[in-house]
Amino acid sequence: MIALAACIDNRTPEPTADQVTLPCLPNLDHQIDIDELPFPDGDAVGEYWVSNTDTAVDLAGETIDNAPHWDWSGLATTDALVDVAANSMEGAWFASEFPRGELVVPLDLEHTVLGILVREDSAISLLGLASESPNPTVGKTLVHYDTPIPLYLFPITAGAHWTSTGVISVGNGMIDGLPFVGENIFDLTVGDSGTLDLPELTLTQAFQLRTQVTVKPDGGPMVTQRSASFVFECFGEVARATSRQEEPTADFHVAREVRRLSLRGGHL
Amino acid sequence: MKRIALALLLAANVARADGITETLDDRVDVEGSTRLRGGLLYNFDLDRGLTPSGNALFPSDPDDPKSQTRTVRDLRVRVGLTAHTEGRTAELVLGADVIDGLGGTSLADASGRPDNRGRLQLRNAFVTVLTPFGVAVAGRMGNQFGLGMIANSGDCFDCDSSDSADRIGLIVPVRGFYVATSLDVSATTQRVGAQSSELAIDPRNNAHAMTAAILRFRGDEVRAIRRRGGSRTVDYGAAFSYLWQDHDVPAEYLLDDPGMDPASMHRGLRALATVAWARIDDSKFRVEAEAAYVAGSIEQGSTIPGALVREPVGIGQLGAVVQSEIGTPETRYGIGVDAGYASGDPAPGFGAFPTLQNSTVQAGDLDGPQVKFPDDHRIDNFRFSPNYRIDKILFHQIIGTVTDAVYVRPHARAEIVPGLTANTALIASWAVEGSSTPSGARQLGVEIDSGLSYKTHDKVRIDLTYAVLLPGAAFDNTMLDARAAQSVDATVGYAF
Repeated sequence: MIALAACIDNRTPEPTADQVTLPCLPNLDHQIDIDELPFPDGDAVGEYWVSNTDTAVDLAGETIDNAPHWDWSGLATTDALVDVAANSMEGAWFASEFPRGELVVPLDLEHTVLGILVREDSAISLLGLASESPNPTVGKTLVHYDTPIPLYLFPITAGAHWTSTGVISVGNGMIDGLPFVGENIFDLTVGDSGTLDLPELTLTQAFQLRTQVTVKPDGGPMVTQRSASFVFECFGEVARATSRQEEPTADFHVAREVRRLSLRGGHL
Repeated sequence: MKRIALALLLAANVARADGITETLDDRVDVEGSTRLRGGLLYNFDLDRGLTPSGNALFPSDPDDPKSQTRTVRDLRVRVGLTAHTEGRTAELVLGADVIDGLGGTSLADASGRPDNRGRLQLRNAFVTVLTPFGVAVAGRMGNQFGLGMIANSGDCFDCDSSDSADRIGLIVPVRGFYVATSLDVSATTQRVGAQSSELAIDPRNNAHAMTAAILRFRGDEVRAIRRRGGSRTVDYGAAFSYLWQDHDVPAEYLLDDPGMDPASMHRGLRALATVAWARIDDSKFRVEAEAAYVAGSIEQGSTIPGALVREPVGIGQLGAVVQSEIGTPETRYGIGVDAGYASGDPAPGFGAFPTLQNSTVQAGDLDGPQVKFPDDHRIDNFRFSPNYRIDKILFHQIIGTVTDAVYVRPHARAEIVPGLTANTALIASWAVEGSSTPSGARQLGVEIDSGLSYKTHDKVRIDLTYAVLLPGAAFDNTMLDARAAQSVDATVGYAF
């Protein structure tokens, strides 16, 4: 019976599922090495709870057992689940502008402005910015920094601090269709690692990363913005609070936007 | 999370203690068996296309993916050694298996789940000592209770693996009953040093089980004598096994290379398994049944150190089987009906063998984890031991074991000539939770397994089986209906 039936072709095609491997598992050694921060080879999507109205945040947290503890678990009815996608450079309209670029990440929730990242020996760095399309209604954005800006310097350990200046020379800056010449100064500080409560999970060794970006146009007024993000081994950025512009205090209490990782993307 | 396994009486020990086994003059006894199997598996992917995750229901031939037929073969060598003191007050038992694919795919590996190819498995390494209080046992030993629905030592002719426990126990005969207590170390992980010796540097990482059992049990020979005398034998027992694990080292089972210092995390597993078993063995019929309920919780269900969920995982699993036959081992004919139930979990997939590969399970997939944070915090599907076999294709090979299912199994046998028996069984099955099946329908299908079995007095056994599975609507795809699967396999074995 089998011999007779064997003449019929198999209607099931070859499997298309990728072989699943776990690239990294946290070892909780109080530092994040470069191979412990996800940097996808291709497209990847994470789901985040996002508050995009002015939201109270606690950046200082409590001290429990000599370590900080931040409770960011509360959800407001206005919070929404948003997909945040990181994409490869393949097919991007600006791909030829950034030959070293490896990954494209959105800088805003609407994915209208994108950051172009590269993984270097001991850093993940920002090469420049670009609008999602070459001709958006608000005008094209395309910014090349003269030298890459390290957003993460490895290993990430408590107390690390670095400052980088991204120079945008003549002909290398276009923001919303208008030419831009000047500097973006990035000042980053890693705080102590501690416990971070998110709406659906708790991370026991998250590092808080404070960032202040100063935009200095040639001949124009400076604008500053602060953010505090949390990074965790093998997960990457799990939460971020972005201040309003010209926020005077490092421990700001009201954020323009707060995003927190959700488990609905299947991380556990 | 470690597999929840019962720590129960070793039936072989009980059989040995019933006074029926033959007296040995020598101090060392060697026994063993070889088993050679070969088979053709036809259309085990049911010709229904891929699941939403892009997997086939069953792996195709890696050398010829378009082929409908897979050829499988394997050889198992099982060796056991027993040494005892002159007065037989102490005994050392050693046993090991080797399963080899003979240069191809073994029947044990065809599904792609466990890989037994060429692997040496230490099944037994224990001592028994007769004490004034009873028989004390210590070491690694098979884990068997009742019909083997939940704890199965893998002694059957067709078994591929074994359920072993590292155990210290005491068996006490009391007024015709065996009362047993044991302490198991079910898992010892966290390697230390470059030599990867499996020492538990933190005992809290071990899964432990404490078991108490009471059993009224007569061995095969005793029951045969009683049948010949027209007596009915009623045996029964119950076991309670409490399992706990405080910590866990997920890198040991999630990573190929866990590194020198993998992180440990809180687990908080607590589970209680209650098992009851009974058998009525009459001169005309046999009825045997087993039921088990596993209740428990896992305080920390995450397998990522440092990334913790705040709600515990709940466990509530129920399994039951009944076997019946009008006829006895001494009669030429036998007919009966078996049935079974394994509770289900509404999460997608059967949950038979959750792995990293099927961790991102979607509705319509065959298998996957039954918890999905943050909304689903329960594991309610009961899994039979994979060595408790009711069929050849559906549960044995495609799903992997009986879980989330209910079945009935009428069966019959007839001895054609002395030693040669024809047998047939029909297995009709349904999913308990429709949401677990690839299509959402509950009808799993009907399988017919028929064969011949030849046994000689000098322990040679030859089995030839043909099986056909007519899949139910549970396996239909959106565009393609599932088609019949078939298998033919032959097994030759010799015990010495």
